[in-house]
Amino acid sequence: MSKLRKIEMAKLPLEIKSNIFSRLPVKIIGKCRCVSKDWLGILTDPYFLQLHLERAQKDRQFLFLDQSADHDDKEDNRRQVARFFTTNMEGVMQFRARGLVVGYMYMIPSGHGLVCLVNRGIFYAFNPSMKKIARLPKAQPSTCGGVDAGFGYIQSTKEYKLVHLYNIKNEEALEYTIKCEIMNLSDGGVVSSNSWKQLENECPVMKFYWMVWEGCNPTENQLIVSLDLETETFGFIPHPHVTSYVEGNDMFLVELQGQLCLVDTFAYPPVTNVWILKDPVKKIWVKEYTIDLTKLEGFDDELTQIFILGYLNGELTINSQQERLDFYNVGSRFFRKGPNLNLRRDTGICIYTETFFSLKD
Amino acid sequence: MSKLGQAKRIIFLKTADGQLFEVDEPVAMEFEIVKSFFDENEDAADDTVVPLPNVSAEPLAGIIEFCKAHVEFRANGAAGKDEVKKFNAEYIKEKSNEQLKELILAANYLNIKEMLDFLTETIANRLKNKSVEYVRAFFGIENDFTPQEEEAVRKEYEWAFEGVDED
Repeated sequence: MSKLRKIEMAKLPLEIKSNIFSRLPVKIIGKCRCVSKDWLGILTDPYFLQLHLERAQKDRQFLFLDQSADHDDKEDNRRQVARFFTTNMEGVMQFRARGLVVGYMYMIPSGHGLVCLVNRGIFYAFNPSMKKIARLPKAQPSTCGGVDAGFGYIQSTKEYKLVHLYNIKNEEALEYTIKCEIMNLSDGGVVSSNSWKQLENECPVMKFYWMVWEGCNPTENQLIVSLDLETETFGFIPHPHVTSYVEGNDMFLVELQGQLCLVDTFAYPPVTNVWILKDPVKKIWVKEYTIDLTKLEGFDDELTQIFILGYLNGELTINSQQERLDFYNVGSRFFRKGPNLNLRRDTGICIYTETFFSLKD
Repeated sequence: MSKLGQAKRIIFLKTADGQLFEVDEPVAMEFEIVKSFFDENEDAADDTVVPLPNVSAEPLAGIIEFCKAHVEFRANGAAGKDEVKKFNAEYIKEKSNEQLKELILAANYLNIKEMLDFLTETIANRLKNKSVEYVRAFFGIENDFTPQEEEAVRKEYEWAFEGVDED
């Protein structure tokens, strides 16, 4: 442009500026708040924050975690370097961080802004967009191997709920009672003054899984235990009628667009079925997608495990344990390769959304 | 062939830098400001020149190009289809940041909802993987904090300044 006339962006109405900023990452907005009084006002205004929240929930970010410890080895208490990094949907790196930890670090996504991290029985709330991590008050000890916890966001109260299942050994050998404790996290609340609330009801199963099954072969007894986060009551949902099961490739549950899904992979022919709980009241499952894994580049039926991480704009986000993420278009039934992120087979991946939810120690 | 009164009407627009544009009526009516001009002046003669004192010729030409294409897309039932996306991507590809700013200011003044939405999203996409300096330069934000105030506010937003920045 030949003219050297200064273009006065100040003339642009607040509404449009807020709209543009509502699509930018939390980190840039944080920095812009430090630039001028005007901007500090605009970017902390409740109107703007609401706009940003609504926009962010329609977008996705990825949190990756590389670590050398092995989650199957409970005795592995070596010091290790845990490396976090985050990218947006286009694979553009947002930040990297590393820290020394002892033992394995678990990640529990909330399907929203925060991620729960668990290391040797200690729970942390983590906001990846603000890179803020806060240690939560001590949870009840549990002798089970992995971590039996769930993390969720409640739209109506704008709170997170962390649910922890733990066991109490009974008098009789090999018998356990499963108890449940819950912690609420509210925006700006001081995390260390939070406390776990013990749920009076025992978890109504003897198995320590959110997904419960007997042995490897599906039986009529298969159930999924649910906990309603608003009413804090347990319930049961039967499995869909899945008929096959691949050794080493567990069925797993995932939330897609607010619906509970069960993902089940067959070996021959290699397909992954995604069942959706269409009607949680009548407990009706529908086999929504059947994914032909042979169309996935680099697919190896011996090595490849498919994990579905989420759904956005007609695509399922797939972790196929390769150096990249894949996106499966449910309309065209083709895969789209994401950019190479040099992921390792055991890189932990979890989806989150950008949020200003603040965690105070 | 056309009957009286159904001839293709041309709207005359005059920019701040004195250029006269002749625009087909359906395209000009995309501009809310032009539409309300004629709604409020029902008796306006057909050759009335609508003055646009806040828009110069260059962005207006760009806006007319965009709106003309989108009016045609709608007429052909192509709205929302791939060819629209392709056109939009091509349209924006060669535009500099300065041109984008001119366009959004003009689209705002003319009040063209569809184009405003498109430009808002385009600008955000262009900014979202950039540094704060880039964003700041784009909006021309001047620092009006005293050094003490800046230090205090930076302390509060410490988290935003850690980690890697990649432009």
